[in-house]
Amino acid sequence: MAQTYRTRAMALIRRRDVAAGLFLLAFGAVIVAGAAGLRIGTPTRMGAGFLPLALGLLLALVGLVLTVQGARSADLLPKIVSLRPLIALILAFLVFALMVEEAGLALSTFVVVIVSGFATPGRKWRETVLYAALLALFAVLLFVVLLKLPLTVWP
Amino acid sequence: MTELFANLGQGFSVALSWSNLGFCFTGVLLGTLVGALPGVGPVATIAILLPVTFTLDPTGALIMLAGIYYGAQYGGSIVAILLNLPGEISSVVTTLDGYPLACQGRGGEALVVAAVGSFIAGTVTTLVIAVGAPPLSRMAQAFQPTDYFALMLLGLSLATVLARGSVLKGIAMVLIGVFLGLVGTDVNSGVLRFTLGIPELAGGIGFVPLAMGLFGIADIAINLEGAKDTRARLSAKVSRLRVPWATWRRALPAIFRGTGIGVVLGVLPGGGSILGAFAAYLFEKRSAKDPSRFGRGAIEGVAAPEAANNAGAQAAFIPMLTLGIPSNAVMALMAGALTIHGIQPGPQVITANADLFWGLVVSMWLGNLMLLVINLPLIGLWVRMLDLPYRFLFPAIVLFCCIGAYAVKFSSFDIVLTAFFGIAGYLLYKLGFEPAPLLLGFVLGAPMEENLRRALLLSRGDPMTFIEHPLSLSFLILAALFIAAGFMPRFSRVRIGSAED
Repeated sequence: MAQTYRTRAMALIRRRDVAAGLFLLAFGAVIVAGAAGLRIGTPTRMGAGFLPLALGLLLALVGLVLTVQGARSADLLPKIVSLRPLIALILAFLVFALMVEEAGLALSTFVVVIVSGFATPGRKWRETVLYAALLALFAVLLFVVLLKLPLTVWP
Repeated sequence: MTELFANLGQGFSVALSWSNLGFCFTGVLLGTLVGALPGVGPVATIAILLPVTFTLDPTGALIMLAGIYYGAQYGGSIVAILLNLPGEISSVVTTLDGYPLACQGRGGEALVVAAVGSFIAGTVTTLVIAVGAPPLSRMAQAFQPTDYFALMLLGLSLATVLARGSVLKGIAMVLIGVFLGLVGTDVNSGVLRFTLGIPELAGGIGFVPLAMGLFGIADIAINLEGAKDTRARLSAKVSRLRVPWATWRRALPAIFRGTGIGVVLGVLPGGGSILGAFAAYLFEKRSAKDPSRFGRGAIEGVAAPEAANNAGAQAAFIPMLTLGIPSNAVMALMAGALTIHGIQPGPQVITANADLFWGLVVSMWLGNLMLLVINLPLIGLWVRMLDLPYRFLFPAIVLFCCIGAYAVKFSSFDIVLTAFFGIAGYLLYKLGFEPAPLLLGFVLGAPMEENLRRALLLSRGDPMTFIEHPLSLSFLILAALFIAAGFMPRFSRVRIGSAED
C-alpha cells in the first residue's frame, strides 16, 4: 500500500504543471518567510516588507492553483537529455569571472572558449584551440582597442 | 504650420553640418553593432561613451548617443529574427514571429519589413515630436502616482497575456519578476531586502545579468542539449531580400498601427520602446482574423513591434527633453549628458536651447534614414557573419555575454549572477514557463512600488483612490479586461496552439 502511494506521488510530480506549481508554492513561501523579517507596515505607510509579502502570498496562491490544474493534465516534464552543455556553460562563466580581473582579457577569453568546448561532445581539439586564440585576439581588438573598455589585457 | 517648418528648418541647418552628420553616422553604426551583439547593449555603451562626449559639443554628443539608442533597436531586431536572441528587451517580442519566419527561410523578408517599418515609424515619430512636444508634455504633467501605478499594472497585464504559456504561468513570471526588481536597497527606508548578505546585491539585481542569463545562456544550453530542433543554417533563413506584395499588404497597416501605439506608450513613463513593442504585438494578435498565425511567422508580429519599438525609443525623448523627466535608463543617461554640458534638462530646453532640441529631433530622422540605407545592403554581410556553425557561434555569444555582464559595473559578481540566471532560465524552460513577462515585471518592479507607496500615502491609505482617478480607473479596467480575455477558452486555445513544446 505504501508502495502505491509513493509511486502515485512520483507519477504526479512528473507532470509538468504539478512540478511547476510546487516550485512556485515553495518560492512564494520563501519570499513570505523573508518578508516576515522586514517591517510590514500598513497600507498608508508601507514598510519594506509589504509588497514582498503580498507578492509571496500571490505567488504561492498561483502555485497552488497550478498544482491542482497540473494534477489533472497529462503534460509531462520534458526529459533532461544531457546536463553537460549547461554545466560547461556555467563553468565557462565562473572561470571568466575568476580570471578576468587577474589574468586579463586575452587569457580569460582563451580559457572560456576552451571550457565552452566541453559543451558539445566530439570536439576537435586543434580546431578549438585555434578558434580560442582567434576569439581572444578579436575580443581584445573589439573591446579594448575599438570600444575602449578599461579592461586589462594581460595579467 | 509655419512654426513647424521654421523649427524643422532650424533643425536641418544644425543637423546637416558635417560634424553632426558624422556623429550621427557613428552613433547609428555603433548602435546597430551593439544592439546585435547579445550581451552588450545601448545602456552599457552609452554609459561607457559618456566620458568620451565630455570633449564634444552637447548637440553632437546627444546626436551620437541618441543614434546608439535607436540604432540598437535595429541591431536587436536582426539577432532576434535570425538567432531567436533578443538583442534588446524590446526585441523579445520580435523573436516570437521573426524567428519562425527565419526558420521558414523568410528571414530576409522579416528583416526588410523590420527595417522599413522602423524607418516609417521614425519618420512619423519625428513629425509627432515636432508638432506635439509641447501639448504632450502638458498632458503627461497631469499624471499622479495612482495613474502611474495603474499604467504599470496595465503593462504587466499585457505581459502576462502575451506569454505563450498559460496565463497563470505568465502571472507567476510577472510576480517573480517584480519581486526580483525589489531585491536590493529599499529606497524609502534604506533597508536591505533579500540580498542574502551579498554586498554586490545592495544595488539590486542588474538587468543585464538577468536578461542575458535567462535568455542567452538558457537558450544556448537548451539548443546544445538537442532538446529543441537543431538550428537551420542561417543562409537558409535569409534566402531572399525581396518582399512579396502580399506580405507588404499585411505588414504596412501593421506598421502604422505599431507606430501609433509606440508613440503613445513611448511618451508615457516607464516604457520607452519596450511597452510599445509588447502592446503592438498583442494588439495585432487580438485584432487579427486568425490569431493562431501568431507565434508561427505572422509578418504583422514583426512589423508592428518593430515600428513600435522605434517609435517608442524616439518618443521616449519627449518627456526628457520637454519635462526633464527621464522615462528609462537611457534617457537618464542622456539627461546626465546634458547636465555635464551645463544644460539643465527641463521645459526650458526647447526654447533656451532651440538649436540643440531641433537639431537632435531632425538628426533622429536622418539617423533612421542612414540605418535604412546602410543596413539593408549590409544584411547579407550580417548574415554571413552570423552564419557560422553553431559550435563556433555559441562560444562567441558566451564570450560577449561574459564581457557584457562584466562591463556594466566592472564586477565579476555580475558574471556569476548571469550564470545563476542561466540555470534559472533552463529550469524555467523545463517547467514550461516563459521568461519574457519576468523581464517586464523586473523592470517595472521598483517604480511600481514607489508609485503605490506614494499613491496610498497621498490618499491616506484609501485604496479607492485608484478608482477615483479617471485615468487610473481606465488603465485598471483595461488591465482586468486583458487578463480576463486571456483566460477565456477561445483565446486560450489559440495561445496553447502557439505554445512551443
